[in-house]
Amino acid sequence: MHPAFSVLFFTVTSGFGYGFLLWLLVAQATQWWSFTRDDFLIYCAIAGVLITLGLLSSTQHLANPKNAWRSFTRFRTSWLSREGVLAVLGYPLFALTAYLIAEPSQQGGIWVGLRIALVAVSTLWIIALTYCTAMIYASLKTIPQWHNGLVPPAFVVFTLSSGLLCFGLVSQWQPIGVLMLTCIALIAGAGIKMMYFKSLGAPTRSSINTATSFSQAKVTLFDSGHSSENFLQREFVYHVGPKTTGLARKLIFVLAFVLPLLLIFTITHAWLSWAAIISAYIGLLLERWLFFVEAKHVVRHYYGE
Amino acid sequence: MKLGLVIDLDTCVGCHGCAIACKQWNGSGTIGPLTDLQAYDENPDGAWLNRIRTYEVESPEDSRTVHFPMSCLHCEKADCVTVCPTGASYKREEDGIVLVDQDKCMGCNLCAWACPYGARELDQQQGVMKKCTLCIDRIYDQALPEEERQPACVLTCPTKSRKFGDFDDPESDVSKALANRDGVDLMPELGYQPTNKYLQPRVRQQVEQKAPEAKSGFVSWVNKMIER
Repeated sequence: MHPAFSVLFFTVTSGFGYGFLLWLLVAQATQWWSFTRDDFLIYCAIAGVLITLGLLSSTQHLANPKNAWRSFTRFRTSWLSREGVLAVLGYPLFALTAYLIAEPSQQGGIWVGLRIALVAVSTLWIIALTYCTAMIYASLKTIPQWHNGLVPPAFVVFTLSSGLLCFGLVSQWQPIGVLMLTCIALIAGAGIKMMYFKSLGAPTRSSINTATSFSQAKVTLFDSGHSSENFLQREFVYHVGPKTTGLARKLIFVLAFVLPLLLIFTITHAWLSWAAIISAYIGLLLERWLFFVEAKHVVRHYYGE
Repeated sequence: MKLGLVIDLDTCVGCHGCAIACKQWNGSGTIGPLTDLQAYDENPDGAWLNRIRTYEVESPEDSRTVHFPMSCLHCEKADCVTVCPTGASYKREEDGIVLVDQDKCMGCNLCAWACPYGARELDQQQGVMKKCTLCIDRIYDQALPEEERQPACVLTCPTKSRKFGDFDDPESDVSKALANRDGVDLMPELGYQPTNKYLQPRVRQQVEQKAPEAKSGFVSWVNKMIER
């Protein structure tokens, strides 16, 4: 699949934003870590900016964005529509939640219950939203490398781990257990990715034989029928050599998981936290790029593969 | 009603006439234009609803060149419709034709991703998805003589390799075409249940080669002399 930069940037940047917001809300509500009211709201706003930058970027790959509002209508069948609905309705929900829990509450009773309920809903909302994003890809039977049970957990774990890196930075890794949790999330992410890469080696069901219905013969493309590259080839056929993808896989493990892990365990200065975030961000961008590059749409069989 | 095409791979000669006729008819009408970019330049580009690819099919019994026209197969289980977030893609209840409402499409390409057959192409200038309509603006046009109420590709095919009709009607051209020969689905393992069927090339009769009998006489002597 052709890796459109707007989509790579969107999924990674929004992932950081949503993950950051999730941990901020959880920490503030459960008093795992209490920020001052102003700090908390500023951090939530930064998460909001990341989310919004990502979502705006996602509209860049629309060829006809004036009809984008219609994409909120088919949430009963379309994962893309569900993602859009959850993203837009998320704004008022998260704003209300952040506003209500910003001040550490002295009152007990129903207020505590309401705060906990709002944070629980927001947390599930963000996980559901990330799941919808992943299902846009995982629901496509035409791309065996995406139609894979490991894709949704990977997206969710990446959102949680990148959020933890941001949360660790602003809380100076002080909350009890945050280091351990980040460590677990990064290792889980690396583990899922490792299993995913392994699962790509399995043979796929479709071939040039099933595509052309000549199951017993050797089929080769003789003529593609047109003299220059067309929409199908630009969108679905993207060749990168095995050397490059092999190198990319290694770099993903180093940048997205190993380096952040080493950095957060040797935090002596805030800039090492920043380095961990930047390394993870670049690593995940590369991961998303490879996710597209290694995705082989079945239409390629009609072009001789 | 279940409208669709039966395409005979045995008789198709790969003339691309169907693709040209399609382009001509659908360049205007309900889903037009079908924009071409740099049509007269080195790398012409554009949206087509029908493409013909050619394959070499080799097996121990028989080897041949097969021309393979492909347009939308109007699947029963059309994922291109379910993934569409705007509701622009839809499958008609009454005849099973899959269409794109040009006024609702936002050009996100997701339906093209969901189609295994490469039947959907983005019109880059219009910013919306284009696909085969089975010439819906021909087949229901009461102003046309009845024999012309067929898709442009079917009407133009010089070898009559394309049949159009209602698969639910046993008297239709498509049902008759399937009566004697099995129609096959493309990529049946994906479960899209395409409506359009393909007829595989017939098994060619092997002509027995007889060795010429050795004859004596002047003529056979001359033949032998000039034979290389």
